[in-house]
Amino acid sequence: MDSARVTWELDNAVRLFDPTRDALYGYDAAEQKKINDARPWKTDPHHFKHVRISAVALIKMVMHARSGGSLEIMGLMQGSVYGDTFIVTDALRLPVEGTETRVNAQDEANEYMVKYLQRAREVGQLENAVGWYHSHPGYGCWLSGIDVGTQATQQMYSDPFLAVVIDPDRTISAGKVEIGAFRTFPEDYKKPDRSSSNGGGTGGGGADENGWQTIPSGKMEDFGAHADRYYALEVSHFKSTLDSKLLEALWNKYWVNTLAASPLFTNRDYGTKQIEDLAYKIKAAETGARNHGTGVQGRYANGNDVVYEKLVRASERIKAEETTGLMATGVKGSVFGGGGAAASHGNRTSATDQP
Amino acid sequence: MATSQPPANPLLSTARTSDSALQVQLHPLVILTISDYITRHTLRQQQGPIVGAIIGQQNGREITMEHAFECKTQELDTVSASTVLDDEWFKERLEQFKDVHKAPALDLVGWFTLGPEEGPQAVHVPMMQQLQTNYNDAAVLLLFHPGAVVNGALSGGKLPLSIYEAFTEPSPENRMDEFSGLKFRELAHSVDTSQAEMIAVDFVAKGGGNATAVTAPSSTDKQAAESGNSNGKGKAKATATPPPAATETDALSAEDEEAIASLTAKANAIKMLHHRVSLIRAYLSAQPPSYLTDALLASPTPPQGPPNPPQTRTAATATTPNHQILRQILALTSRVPLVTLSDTAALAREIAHQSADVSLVALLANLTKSVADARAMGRKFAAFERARTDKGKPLAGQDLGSGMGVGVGSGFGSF
Repeated sequence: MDSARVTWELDNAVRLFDPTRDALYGYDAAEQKKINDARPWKTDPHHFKHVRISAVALIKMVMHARSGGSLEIMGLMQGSVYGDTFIVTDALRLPVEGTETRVNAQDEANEYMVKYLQRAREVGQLENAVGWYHSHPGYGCWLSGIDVGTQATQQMYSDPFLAVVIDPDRTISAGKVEIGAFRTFPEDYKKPDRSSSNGGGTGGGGADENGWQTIPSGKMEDFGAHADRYYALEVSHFKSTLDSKLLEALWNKYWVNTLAASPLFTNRDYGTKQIEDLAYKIKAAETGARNHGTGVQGRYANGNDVVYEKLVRASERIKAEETTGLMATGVKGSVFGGGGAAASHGNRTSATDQP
Repeated sequence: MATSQPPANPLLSTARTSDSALQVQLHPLVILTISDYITRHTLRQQQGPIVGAIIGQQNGREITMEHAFECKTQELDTVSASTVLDDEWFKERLEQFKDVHKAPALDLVGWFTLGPEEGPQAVHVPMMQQLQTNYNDAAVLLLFHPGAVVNGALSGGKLPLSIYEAFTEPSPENRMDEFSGLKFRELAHSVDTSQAEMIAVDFVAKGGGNATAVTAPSSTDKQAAESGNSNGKGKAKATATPPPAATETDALSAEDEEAIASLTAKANAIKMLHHRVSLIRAYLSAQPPSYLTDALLASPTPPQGPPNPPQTRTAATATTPNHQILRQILALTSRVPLVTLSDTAALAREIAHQSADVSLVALLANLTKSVADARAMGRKFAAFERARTDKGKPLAGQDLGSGMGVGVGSGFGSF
């Protein structure tokens, strides 16, 4: 009985994890309290710059966003902070919907939230709520007026707090997760000339991480009106060594799709929209250049014109996506025969460019 | 009470798995939730066993396992000191989950815990009974095998878990009075996933940031020797390679990383395909000679391709060939000519179109970059000129700079 129980309780001797590479899964309550007492974010509105989301939290949020269909859903994220980074380790759903049309959606969920977190603490999950997430089905990752209000309130009372937005429709059509993380500025904070803001007032939300986004015309006004009140954080994800091993095993179940996929074909709509969007932005930059002349247009960072930098980055992105798609076709051709082999050969020469 | 010899786990029923009609479809999120919980539990050195519940849908004989969450346990203060779920805690938590999973409506379908590969142990029985009596009498048990992970048995692509259903089997030789003859039977399971889940799992698997601790800006980084994750970019790293002492964190741009990741994925997929095809070839070659006297095959000797897995040969020669497998192979090979495209010229044309489009996009991207570079250079030159003659005189150099700078689309008008 004893040996069985020992196995069951998973003695630490079992090397399922790596203490260094899985460090983010630990939680030091004393350290968190110290950080919370010091509160460096009170003095610097731009204090937080990065977000790291665990694999499980990310998948849960994406699936929740998708399950809402065309209704906006919302939920909470649990985790901790460290330095200038938010660390999100888990996500939970909230039983409210249609969050974009109502201001008090979050109040309804308060009772659920409190009880859930209390129960979580009882089972040993000590992390606090460190942010909230909601979805924008089909219209991009940014904060609407209502969202800005909600987030500002949260930052006033339950800082450190983070707002995350997921677009499930674009996730499906692009084949990659469309997610953005934001924090609002305090009321009286004037946004300085930083590289995180755009020239021409097209807003700071989401443009750093995602490149450009097409905002539907119906939402453009809402987007523009509040775009200066928040900034985007850089999002990355992490997974444990055990996760990696399991994912490798899982991969054997869907490797067929990797080889059989035709990204150029399935993502044609998305790619076209990206190019359209970029063309529109270039035209705007061109008009700006014509009107403003030498140096007044836009803002500078590191001596470079930020607008052009963004255009370059967006075009590099599109190029990368297209070349990857073409490589898939080329690989298929080489493996299975057919005309695709030529594409991979031709592509190899054109894909080389200066870094 | 459970034995440790592999064949004789008294809790395992001796009936064959094919008798059970229950089909289990497992979602990757459940597997990752379990692994996440294990990592957290061990890293934070929490007490108590690793136990959780699984919710999903149950449609007749089909069970899907879609979400999971960890559970609080308590010790029943009986002589046997068995561990069961904290009922009050569990009831409320289950309600909370059912509240937010309404479309489609999910309910408790089972629970998970850690266990050896031999099967459920006696410690698992009380909790199983609790779930069966109070919540769902068709609850299944998912056993996660940490031993399999450590042993490296995962390389075959087999997941380190087994699923069992429980039922009461009246048996005369049962002498364990308090466990009233509960027996387990292993179920076959398959992995199923929805599209959003697929994309998210793929994204997480590819992106590959590992969880090394974040370095605060002011602290001395002991983590600097690890991959430079502190800039939040999560440099993609093949999961098996040890982290190099990266002194420069921006050696590869995000696009390069993605390209590398996708190429690696494709390479692995091709390896897999190759492996499977050679497996089929090996099996065919290992058939008894009477089957191989077809004109197509030159000799019945094993092929000199990749090494055959030895057990296939002995199995095939030891028993009669499995006609079902042979029929399936035949179906596969006869399907191949159907799928091959007859009109290769049209395909080649299409592909040429595609690559022309892509090359065009690449060219445009390079052009954009050149324009931006030229503009930047023009501005730097202008600033340089301005600094050189800082008496406040307007300079010809300035006009030159601006002229180059606004060459984006407008003419070279001076401003």
